Amino acid sequence: MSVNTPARPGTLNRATARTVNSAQSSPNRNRTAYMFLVPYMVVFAAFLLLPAIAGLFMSFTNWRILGDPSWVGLNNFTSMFNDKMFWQAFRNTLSFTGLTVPILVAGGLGLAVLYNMRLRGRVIARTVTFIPYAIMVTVVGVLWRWIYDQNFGLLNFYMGSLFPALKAMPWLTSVQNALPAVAITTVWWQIGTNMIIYLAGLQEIPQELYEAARVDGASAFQQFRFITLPGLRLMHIFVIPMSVISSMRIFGQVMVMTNGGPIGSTYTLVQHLYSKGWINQYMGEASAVGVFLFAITLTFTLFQMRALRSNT
Amino acid sequence: MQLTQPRLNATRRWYKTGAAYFLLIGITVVMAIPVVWMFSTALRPEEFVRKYPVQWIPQDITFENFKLALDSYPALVRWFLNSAFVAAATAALSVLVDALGAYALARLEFFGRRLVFIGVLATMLIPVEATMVPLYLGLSRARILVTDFGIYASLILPVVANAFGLYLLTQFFQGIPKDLEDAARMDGSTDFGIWWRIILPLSGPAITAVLIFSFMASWNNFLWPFILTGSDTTRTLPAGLATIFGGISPSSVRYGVVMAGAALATLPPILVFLALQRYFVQGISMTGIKG
Repeated sequence: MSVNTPARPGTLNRATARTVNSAQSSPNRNRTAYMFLVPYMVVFAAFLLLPAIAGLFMSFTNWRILGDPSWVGLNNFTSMFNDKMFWQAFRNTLSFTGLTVPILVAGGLGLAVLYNMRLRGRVIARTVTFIPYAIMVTVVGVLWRWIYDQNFGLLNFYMGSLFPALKAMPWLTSVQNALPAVAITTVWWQIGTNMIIYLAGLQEIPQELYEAARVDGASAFQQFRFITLPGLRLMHIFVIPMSVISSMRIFGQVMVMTNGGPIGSTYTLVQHLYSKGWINQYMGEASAVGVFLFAITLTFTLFQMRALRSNT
Repeated sequence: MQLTQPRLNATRRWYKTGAAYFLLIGITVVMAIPVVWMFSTALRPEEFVRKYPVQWIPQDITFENFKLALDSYPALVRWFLNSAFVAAATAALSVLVDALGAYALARLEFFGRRLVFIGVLATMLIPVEATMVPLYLGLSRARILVTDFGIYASLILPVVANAFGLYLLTQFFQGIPKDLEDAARMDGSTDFGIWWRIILPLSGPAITAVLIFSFMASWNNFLWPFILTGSDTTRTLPAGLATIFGGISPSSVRYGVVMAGAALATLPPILVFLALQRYFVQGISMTGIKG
């Protein structure tokens, strides 16, 4: 395979701009480019952009599946914010995100660093770490429900043999343990994705930087802090927001493992959206939940972008 | 002092390597346990499923559970085929629209390029759940969801415009040397010809990565198919399995059969994935030097 030096990722290649002369940069040229972009833009507009805008609009109406909608102003938002279930869902979603994202990001990075070392068997380890990614969420949920089974589960068998007092520890049936248990499952399921992306990033960092640092007497930690971390900047910009968003969107795992229980301790925002929209058929209020979810993830991401920009 | 320094370093290095191997093996084992446990449970006769102490290798291995799973849930096969079809169609369409768009972004100079690029990346931040309600209402009011064909189309099209794929391919296309393209242009090749005959054939790993990525995203997609599909004809595997797994109470579950069903759903994608994962890693690393 040939060696392709990539353009600096994240920026558009300026060389292109230089080689294209002004004669080519005509309306004709623009038209060719737009032709190439049309298929993407059509699907994107029809199934993402328009629905997103429509969702904002719908959150101010009382849409149902049938019947005519009317404008209700901020009613959907006030009833959403007055709903105890909404706040519980929001709290749970935040705790879940707080539990999973740091491990998914730092753990993914740690695994990538480990698998990038010259160790025997690292390819097997990498593959095994990535395999859960190929398992669908309903299977993940039911598999871990079996592992967490209070009386015959795998986890309690080993817990019981190490600490006999914890032999019948409730996991998914306990208000305190259910959410952390779902978080552990999620970390197992998702960490491989972040690992792969960081691993790809690590392989882009020139080895000479490390050699030069070693000559200058930099410690392993210093090399990590001043070469590895900044070298992965673009990966952080991708991995951190995507991990936050996917954790904020948690639904499938709880749907199969706990169905939001016990006593709502694993009830999440997307479950709230689903139950408002499809069980109670309040499409307007469900849209309001969707708008809220979008606003929250957007705020998070903007903060992260700013933090990352000032840090590196 | 100076004499002992090298030996000290050697010992320290030895500890470090030891610790690294310890971590490597430990993590691999922990990550592998759930999957191995799934297969181990599936291969066990029902009376040995709920039994302590745990036996990793069942005494008498049986395939009875697989037969039972297929007998008790005959729709499994249909769900599986639906999922495979929907995911394959999504992946193919995704690669097509992403690769076309990426060519414009990576190789052509046009008015509004930066805006389009940033705008597309920003859409990765929209949680699809926020678009789900209006999309569902629109499709249902337009009476698209009354036919099976309409449902399949609604399962596929919303996930086709894949910003990550577009980004990945744009990056990859930018790395392809210009000279081939210039030569082709001299010979009077059109942009479409360059895209088809030069860019695409040189982008194998990146295209494979986007294929796998969108296939997996669709294959794992849960909530949207769960909402959209009401019958076994159109149900995808995750949505179908939820109808089996969601309702069962923990005490009555026959985990042998359930794990057999889960294993049947999991084995094919794992095998395909193992076969292709090399390209996946290569494609993401965007350079293509590790081949």
